[in-house]
Amino acid sequence: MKNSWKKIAPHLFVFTADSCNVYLLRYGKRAIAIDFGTGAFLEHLSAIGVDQIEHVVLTHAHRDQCCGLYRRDQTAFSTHAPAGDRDLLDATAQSAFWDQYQNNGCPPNYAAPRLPIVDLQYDLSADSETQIGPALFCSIATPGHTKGALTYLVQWQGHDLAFCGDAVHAHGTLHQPYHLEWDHWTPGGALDAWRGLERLGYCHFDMLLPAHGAPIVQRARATLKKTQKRLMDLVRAKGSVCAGAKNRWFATTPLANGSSRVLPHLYHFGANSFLLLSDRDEGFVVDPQLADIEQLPALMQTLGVERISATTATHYHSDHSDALNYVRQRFGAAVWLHPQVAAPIADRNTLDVPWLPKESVVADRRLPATGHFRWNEYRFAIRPFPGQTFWHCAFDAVIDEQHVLFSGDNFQPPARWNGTGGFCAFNGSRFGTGFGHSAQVALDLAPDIVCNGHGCIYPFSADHYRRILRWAESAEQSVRSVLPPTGWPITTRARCA
Amino acid sequence: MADYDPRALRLTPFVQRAKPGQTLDLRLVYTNHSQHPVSLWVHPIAPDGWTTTPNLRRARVAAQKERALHFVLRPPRTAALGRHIFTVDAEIDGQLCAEACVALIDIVDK
Repeated sequence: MKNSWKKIAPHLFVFTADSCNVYLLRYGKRAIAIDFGTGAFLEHLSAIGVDQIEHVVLTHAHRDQCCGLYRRDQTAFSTHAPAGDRDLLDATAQSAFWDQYQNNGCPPNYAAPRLPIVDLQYDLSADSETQIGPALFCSIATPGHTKGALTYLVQWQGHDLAFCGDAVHAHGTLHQPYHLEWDHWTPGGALDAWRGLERLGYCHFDMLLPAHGAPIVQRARATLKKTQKRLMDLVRAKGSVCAGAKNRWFATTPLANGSSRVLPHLYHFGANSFLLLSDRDEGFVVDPQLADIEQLPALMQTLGVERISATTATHYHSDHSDALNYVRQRFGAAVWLHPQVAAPIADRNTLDVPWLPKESVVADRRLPATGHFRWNEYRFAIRPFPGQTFWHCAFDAVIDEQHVLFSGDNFQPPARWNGTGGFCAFNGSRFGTGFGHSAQVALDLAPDIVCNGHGCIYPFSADHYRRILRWAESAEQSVRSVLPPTGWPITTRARCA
Repeated sequence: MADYDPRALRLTPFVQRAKPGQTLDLRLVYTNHSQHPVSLWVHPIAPDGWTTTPNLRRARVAAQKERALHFVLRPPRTAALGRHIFTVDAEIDGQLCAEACVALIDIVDK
């Protein structure tokens, strides 16, 4: 590891040859380190005349900031951490974090420490001051990369410093902004990050010292404002994919067993599932979910359906796929899957993705990636349909003289959530090549009825999908603008309708 | 590293079960989202007492391409039952990404 100290101001240094910036406040031959990385800087202290680190102060509990602390058996300094990040650092809480990591959708954190740090002092809390060695650390809550992340304001040698962790990156951008996606669809993390910067903006500082990228020693306040503006653009992008579109619903006919009739040969049951009937008294099940699959036998009895011969899913999320095995085992159905849907669940332990079904699902038949398949008298067209998640498809057919599109969680009527199942990087969301591509597919198909998950059955409207197409472009721009300059490849934009 | 792709560097399989002493295969996959080739340096970090082969890998990854590097991991016969976290330190074009991604290894007794 090369010696990479840079002097920022008298008795203030930064070490950049590690997985994060490590700042040092030097007093005599001793120093306070802000963040730690792997601790490589410890081998180079003599280069700046330091004999001893007395304190280490963490801005937030990400492993790139602190892994060197738990890789060491012993440390000769005291370590201080944000009290709000205790649930990522404490041994018991951390063990529970990793044990439950894949139990739900997005994990509570994308870069949690691998091991606990012993003898941590959780003596740093928002809106309080902590004396550490000769420096007074004034803590401002700047959540984002973690919910408990803090910025420390420190007066040092005539400078007002803001050690801001990953709350800001140079050029008004953010390092790995996907950490702000605390769930799969809301702007909660980005909004809280914006509020943190707003609060920081009310304070006096003349340098922003981020955990990644160059220290911001000029135009620090302007950089903060630029970051805030971009964050708010991101918040707005998360608001709705089709703002202003008219809300449309298709009138279905309720049945006694909680299911409903969409068309004479098409029924909706449970939260997300559809039963298509053939004139041969066979059924085809779309998006079966374990939580309500027992509605299926009751519906079959009501309709006089004797056999389920095939079942499929629009995407791999458990609420659309976790009863595929059950339908196969109980009713003898063959599981037919699009390759993009089959990939994450053929062995559910392969990928780190959200909402995996608890069991792997091996397809009996791989449907074409793009093409056609037939089930009894119905001829379906099928293709990738990325949006909420990359691993998604859509298929359409004429049913009872209506052109019906089955498209899972892309997209909902505007009044439902944000008009889709949300976007987040962990779910593999993309814009021009994801939402935009799929909106264009729907515009080209112009179906009569869209049969989607979560009871979203509605007549197709070109206006609705043109808005999604436009949103995909602006949302991509919002994400791109917040990334550091080399952060993301240009994607091919979808055609405009 | 693409800043909006949490899986640009990933370990697969993400979850594995093994008995103490049983050999495991893991692949580190890197997706180079950039428009230029990058140099990749990978050092695996296993739990204490575990062995990893090889202990260092270097690779060149072409622009817009994916590259997989194979590792063999062996927990000791005395490995504690339960979940363990395997990770890698990676250097991408000279920028260190410590513990850049993880894999979960569940040690079971049968």
